Amino acid sequence: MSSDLEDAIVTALHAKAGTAPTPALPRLGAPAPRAPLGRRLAPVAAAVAMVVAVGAAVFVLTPRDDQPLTPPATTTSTAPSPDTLAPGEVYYSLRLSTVAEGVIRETQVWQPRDRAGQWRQAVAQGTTIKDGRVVPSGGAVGAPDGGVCYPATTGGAEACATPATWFNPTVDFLATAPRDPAVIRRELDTMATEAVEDAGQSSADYVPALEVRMIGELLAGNGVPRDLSSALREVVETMPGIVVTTGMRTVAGDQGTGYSISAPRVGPQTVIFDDDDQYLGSPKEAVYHGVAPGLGQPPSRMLD
Amino acid sequence: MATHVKGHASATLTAVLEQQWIPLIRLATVLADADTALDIVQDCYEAVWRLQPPVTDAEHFVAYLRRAVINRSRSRLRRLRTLRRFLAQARPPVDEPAADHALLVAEQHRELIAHIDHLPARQREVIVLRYYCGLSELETAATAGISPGTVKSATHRAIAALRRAMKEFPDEQ
Repeated sequence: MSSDLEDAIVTALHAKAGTAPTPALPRLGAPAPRAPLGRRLAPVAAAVAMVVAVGAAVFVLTPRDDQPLTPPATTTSTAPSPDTLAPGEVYYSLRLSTVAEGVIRETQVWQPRDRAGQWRQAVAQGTTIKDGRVVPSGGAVGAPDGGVCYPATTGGAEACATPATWFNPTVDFLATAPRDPAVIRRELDTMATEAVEDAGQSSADYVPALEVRMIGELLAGNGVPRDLSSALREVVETMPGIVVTTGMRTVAGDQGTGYSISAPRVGPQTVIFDDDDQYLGSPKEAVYHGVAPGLGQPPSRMLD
Repeated sequence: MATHVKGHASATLTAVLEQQWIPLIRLATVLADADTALDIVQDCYEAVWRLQPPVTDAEHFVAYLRRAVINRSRSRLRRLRTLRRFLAQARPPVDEPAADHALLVAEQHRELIAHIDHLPARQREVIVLRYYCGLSELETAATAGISPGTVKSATHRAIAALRRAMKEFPDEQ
């Protein structure tokens, strides 16, 4: 027996189906060129125009009789590598972070590949997320709108010259960093141990928790190559004491596999990955990466 | 029964493709969105036309087409997930709805669709096949390429998740 909810599902799905375009079936076998899939999908601004154009086109259905009968292959992602930017393009990231109980901050960052270049950010704050974006409330957020030598806000030479590390990565550092999880783990252990000791903590419990936290910070940033993201996931999932939770959701509701570790007096430190080793965020944050044609401009393509 | 003629589409193949054109676009719209539905179905038709499969059982062939649409919708969803968020931002703001029943119901359905879109891929596909296509558990299993047990559990989890998300539909005692 169907419930009210099931009835509503049926009605809602049919209502959505009713929004489908109803083009005539193109003549089977009629030749007409189609733009490559990646190009058709890439630009946000062209998305609507693309639908209209494709709808008007007659697509190629050229008979070929030498193909074995196999199910059509699933299309694979053709997203470009994060370390490939066209001239003038900048990295773009959108990060939703829980900064206090019930308060979410949205930070958009535009960052050039050149470390010394100009970067920009836009910050908003609110208590609700709608369509993946924070609904601003409570007035302006006091945050700088940009600077040079990300994440510095002043143009001093010192900021641009600070050595890049796992805890302070630059795009160039990420491109050339080790990919062997064992090597990464050793380097992170060294840095985290020093940091914990410098903070006056003697407990070794804080080291893996700090490593997970900083891996999350690194992955939330721009310019992380996909193979490095995979290696970092492996680092996390092989940590002693790590708790793995499937079906964990980010603050925006994206679902993946969560890796958590706790330490005294600090809450659980969690990173969530999707099936392709892309970092999604944590229960307190959600992260999206893309590429924009310039500072402050809407992203032209998303990378994850 | 149709026979396969090399280099020529069988009458059954052509007929099924013509007959399923709009239904598959609607299915793709439900699984993904209206903006990409046409692309998804066109891709499927291109692949099928290249293969020129012998259509000996129209019903099975329709299930095959649906599965192809499901596979393509899944990959498109992943790529377009973030794009859609931005496109949603570009939509004009909706005026505050009056306390009119039809509007409230429409808003409820919109919210329900949003929650269905956020279900894990398999649960979403099972929900669409069961409640939009009206397939039985066995038919859903055959179309989605999973076991009937998985269909049952995925449906149960999806309904439970939707019930939690939609406070208007409390557990029925």
